Amino acid sequence: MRTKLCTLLFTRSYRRSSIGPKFKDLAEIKQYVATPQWSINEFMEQDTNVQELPSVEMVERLLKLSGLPLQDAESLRSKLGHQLVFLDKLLTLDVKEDTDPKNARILPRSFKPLEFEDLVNAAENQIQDVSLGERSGSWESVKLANKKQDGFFVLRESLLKRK
Amino acid sequence: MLKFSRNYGFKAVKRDFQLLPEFKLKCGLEIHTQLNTRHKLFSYSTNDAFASANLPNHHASFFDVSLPGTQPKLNLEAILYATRLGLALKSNINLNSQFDRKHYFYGDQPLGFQITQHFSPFARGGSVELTKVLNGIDQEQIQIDITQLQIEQDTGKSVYKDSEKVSLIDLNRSNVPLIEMVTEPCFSDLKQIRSFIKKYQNLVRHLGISTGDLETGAMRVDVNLSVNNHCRVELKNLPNTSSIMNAIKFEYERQVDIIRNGLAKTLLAEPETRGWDGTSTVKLRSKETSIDYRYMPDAELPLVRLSADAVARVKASLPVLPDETIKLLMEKPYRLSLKDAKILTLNASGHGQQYTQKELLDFYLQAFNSALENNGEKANQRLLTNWIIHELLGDLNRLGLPLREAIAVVPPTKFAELVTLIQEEKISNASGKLLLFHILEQTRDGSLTQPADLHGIIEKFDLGARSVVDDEELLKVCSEILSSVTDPMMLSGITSGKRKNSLKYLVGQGMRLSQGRVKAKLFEDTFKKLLNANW
Repeated sequence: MRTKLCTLLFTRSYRRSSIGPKFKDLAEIKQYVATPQWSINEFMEQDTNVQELPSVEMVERLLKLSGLPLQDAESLRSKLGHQLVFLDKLLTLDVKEDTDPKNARILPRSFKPLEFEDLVNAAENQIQDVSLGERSGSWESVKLANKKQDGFFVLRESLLKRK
Repeated sequence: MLKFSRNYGFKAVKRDFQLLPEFKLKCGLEIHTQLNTRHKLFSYSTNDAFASANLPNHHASFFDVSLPGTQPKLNLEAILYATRLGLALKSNINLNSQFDRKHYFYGDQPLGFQITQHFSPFARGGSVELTKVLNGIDQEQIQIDITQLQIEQDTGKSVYKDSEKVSLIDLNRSNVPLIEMVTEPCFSDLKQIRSFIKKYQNLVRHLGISTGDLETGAMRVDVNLSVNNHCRVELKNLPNTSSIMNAIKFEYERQVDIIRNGLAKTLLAEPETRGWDGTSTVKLRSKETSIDYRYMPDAELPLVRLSADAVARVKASLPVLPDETIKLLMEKPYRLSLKDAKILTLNASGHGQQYTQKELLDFYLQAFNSALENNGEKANQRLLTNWIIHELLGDLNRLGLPLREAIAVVPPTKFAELVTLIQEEKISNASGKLLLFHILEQTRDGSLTQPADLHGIIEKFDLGARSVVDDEELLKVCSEILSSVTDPMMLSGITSGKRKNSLKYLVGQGMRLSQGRVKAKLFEDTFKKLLNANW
C-alpha cells in the first residue's frame, strides 16, 4: 500500500525548459520576472484525465491512523488524489540536485552554529511569554474544550477505540 | 487454543528462575529519560510534570495543548543536557542533527505527531562498561554498546476511567524533554541488565540532567529480547525494576517453551510488541498491526547545528564520572569499602536529599585532608568516614538541614577536629553525637551561624570525657542501676556467665546516666565486680 503511494508520488513526468535569448538590460529582467509564464490552474489541469485516485483502502487506513472519522472517505479520497497530482507536478520542476534535503524547512538555511555560551546561558535567557500561555496557570486550557472534568480534558471512549 | 493460552500466555514466572545454557538470552534496552530542564522542549512553559499532579493542565502553553497556529521553539538547555549525556557515554555527537515528526493518533498526543529525531539523531555510538567489582555482574568486565541517543518530546498523561468510559487527559507532561537511549543487544543475563539500569540512573543523576526515577516515570525502560536468535520481542509498560526483571523472566520462559515445543517457526517468526500486566507479558502489536509512523522532517524547527568548540567545552565541563571517583576512593590513601565509596559518590535517589553528591564528596575529601594534616598517619580514616556517613547524614536528614547550611557552622576542618577529639578520647562517642546534634540543631534554628567553638561547647555542657572517675561514685551509680533491675534471673545469669549479653544492657544504663562521659569498660568492670562475675 505504501509502495503504491510512493509510486504515485515519485512517478515523474519531465517537462524540459528551453534556453531563450540573452536579456539586454535590467528592465527586461524585471519585466520577465513580473510576467507570469504559466498559470496554476493550467498547471494543475494537465494530465487530469490520467489522475489515479488512491485506493479506498489506503484512504481509510490513513484516516484511521490520523484518528479521523471515516464517513467523508470518498470526498477526502478525491482531495488526496488532487494533492498527489500537485506533488507529482512539483516533482517535475527543476531543482538543484546538490541541495541538502535537511534544508527542506521554512527556515533560514545558513545560520551560525550554536556555541557553548548559547547552551549554558539558555535557561537564564528564556523568558516565559504570557501571550503564548507559557506562564503556569495564566490561562485555563480546558475552558476551550466542550467536555472537561476536574481540570482534565475528557477523551470519549469512541475516540479511544479508533486508536 | 486453550492449550496454547495456557502454555504460552499465562504461566507464572517460576520462583527458581534460571537461564538455560542451550537457550541463549539476548537483550537490548531502550531507555526514555525525562530531562529536568527548567522549561519544556519546544515551549518555555514550566517543566514540572510531577509536583503539580493535583493541578492538571496547569503547566501547558498554547503549543503544549497544540492550539492551531502555534509553533515549536527549541529549548537549548535540552541540547546542553543531551550533549552532557552523549559525551559521558562516549558517543559521537552529531553536529548537525534534526527533528522529525512521528505521526500517530492518541488522546494524550494532541499534535497528532511526536517531534523526535528519526533521520539524523543527536548522537551515535558510545559504550558503558560494567565490571564485577563495581557493578556486581558475574563476568569480570563487559561492554554495552550504545546505538544512538535522540531527543524527543514526552506525551501527556491519560487517566483511564473505565467505569465512566472516558479517559482524562493531563497535558502537564506534554512536551517535556526526553532522551531516548538505545543499546545494542549486548545483554545476556539479568544481572547485567539490572546493573546497567542502575548505572545509567546514577549517571543521569550525577550529570544533573534527570531525577532518573523509574517510579515516577522520569525514566522508562523497554526491553528487546530474543532467545536463540529468533525474532525479537519488545517489552513495554515496565514501571519499575522488579517489573522489568519479572517480565524478562516470564518472556524468556515463554519463548523457551515455544522453542522446546517446536513452534518457534510459527510463534517466533515475526517481531512483536508485548506489554506487562503484572503477572504475564501480553501481546500489544504484531508486524501486521504495526503502526506506519509516516516520519517526515519537521519543517518548523531549525537544524540543530553545534560548533565543535561547544562540544569540546561541554566535555571539559563534565564532572568526574562516578566510576573514576569510586576507584579513587577505594585506593590509598582513602581505602574506603565499595559500599562507603558508593554512598559518597552515587545519589540514592534523584531528589529529597539534604545534599548534592558533589557537596558531600567535597566535604569528605576536605575533612579527610584536614584530618591527615592534623594527625598524619594516626588519623583514623574509618572513624571519619563513619561519622560523615552515619552521624552527619543521619542528623541532617533528621533535622531537614541542607549540608551547605551545616557547612557554615561545621566546615570540613571543624568536623575533622571533632572526630579527632573522639579518636583521642577527649570526648566520648556518645558526647560527640550529642555535640554534633546540638550544633546542627542550633544551625537549623538560626541561633548558630558562625563556625562552632567545639571546646567552648564541650566546657559549657561539661561533655569532656572523665579521665579520672571516683570509684565510690561509680560503685554507687552501678549499685543504683542493679537495684532497679526487676528480673533477678538476669543478674544471676550474668554472674554465672549464661547471660553475658545482659551485661551490655547494664552498661548502656550506666552510659546513659553518665551521658557517655565514663568509658564503657569502667562500667563493665564495676558491674562484674558487684555481681561476682568472674568470666
